[in-house]
Amino acid sequence: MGPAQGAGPLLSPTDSNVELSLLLRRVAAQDQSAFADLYDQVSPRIYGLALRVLRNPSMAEEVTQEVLLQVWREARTFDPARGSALAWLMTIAHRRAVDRVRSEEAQSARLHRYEARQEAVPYDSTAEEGEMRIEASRVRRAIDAVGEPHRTTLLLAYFEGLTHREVAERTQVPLGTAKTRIRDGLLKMRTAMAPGGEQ
Amino acid sequence: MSDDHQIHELAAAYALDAVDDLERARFEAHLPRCSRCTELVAALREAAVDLSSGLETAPPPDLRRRVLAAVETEATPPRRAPRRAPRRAPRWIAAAAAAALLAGTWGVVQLREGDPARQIVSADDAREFTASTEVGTVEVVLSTAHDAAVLRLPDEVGSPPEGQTYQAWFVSADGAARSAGLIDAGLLDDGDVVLEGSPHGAVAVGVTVEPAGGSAQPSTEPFAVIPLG
Ligand SMILES: [Zn+2]
Repeated sequence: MGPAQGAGPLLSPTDSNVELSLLLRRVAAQDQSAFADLYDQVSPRIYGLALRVLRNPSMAEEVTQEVLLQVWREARTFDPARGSALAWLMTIAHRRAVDRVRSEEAQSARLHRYEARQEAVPYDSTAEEGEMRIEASRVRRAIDAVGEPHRTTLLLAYFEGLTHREVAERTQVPLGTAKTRIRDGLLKMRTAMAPGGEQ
Repeated sequence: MSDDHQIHELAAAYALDAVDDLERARFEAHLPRCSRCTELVAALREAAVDLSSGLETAPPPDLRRRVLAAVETEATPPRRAPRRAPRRAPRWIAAAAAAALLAGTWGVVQLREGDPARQIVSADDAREFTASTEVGTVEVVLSTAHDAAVLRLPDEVGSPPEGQTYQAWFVSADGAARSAGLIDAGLLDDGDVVLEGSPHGAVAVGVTVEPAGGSAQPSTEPFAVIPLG
């Protein structure tokens, strides 16, 4: 299945961020119709991320609802001078998805599960389960352009909700290395995604 | 100085939510004082946005109706106490902290549905800790198996003053406090309050009075502190 309806505008980051900023300003003033518009624009993105992290549709739905209600309540704290609207929204979404996945399973159980999965199949295939794979070719290219070992580090932290400690353990590198890889991976990704940047 | 050096190194992991609760609390205490980390976190979060691209999936259609209905309900009721603007901390950080607080509120509500308080209190490994406080005996029941804790406030504890809320905190050995959720009047009536988050690493539970909506860090002296051990 391709990107869902309503996801379109988000593919041109600059325009959509201006639009989202304006919507958030109206939502901050408790404008319910603006909130409905915002819902249509961002809910597929939030739900898609929650689904990818939680791998459970009903939990993803709950998290999506929590995120959107939080957006309704907290829209006034969004400050365009400090970051883009989409980054603000997806930071909230990711944080909630990760908190939920961590509360679902004790750390040891999670680590064990990932290790078990790792033994069964190489990580590169397990990272892309069924319909939850990363489909947009632009992003795929950006993640792939990041190259290993940064790519795996980013995927483990962002999609599996592992802490840097767990990433270090999982990839069998020192803690400092895991932290550096997360940072460098994101910086490389930023370069790759930048307009006019390398693919 | 080396401590300080190490805390800067958490910026990327923090931006990606790849930190544990204690690291998150420590880093959020550091952020307002470090413009370098503040800028780096903002930049890395912009980069991280792209990781969630391409996964777009339409949520179940019913969700839209429920979310909009919930918002309508929130928008109409009699005046709510206005949420206090975040103090001191930059807005971006305050938003993240507020996210944690709201996670707390919602967590409490969801947990109550399965009556987990009883499960925790009656768990085989349930341990009780009590403390005499100015409001009477306050009790915390903790289950390692459930990785959860229940707070019991005495009946003498009435509803929080208008525009304020009670907030529970897990306090770690180094004195760092992490929100364990807001306790509103409705929860008080039920007696047992399931605290939000894991008690893991906490050496005490504290309860403070905070402005409506809660705080990222305790802003008043706790009126109750229950040592866990
Ligand atoms: Zn710093």
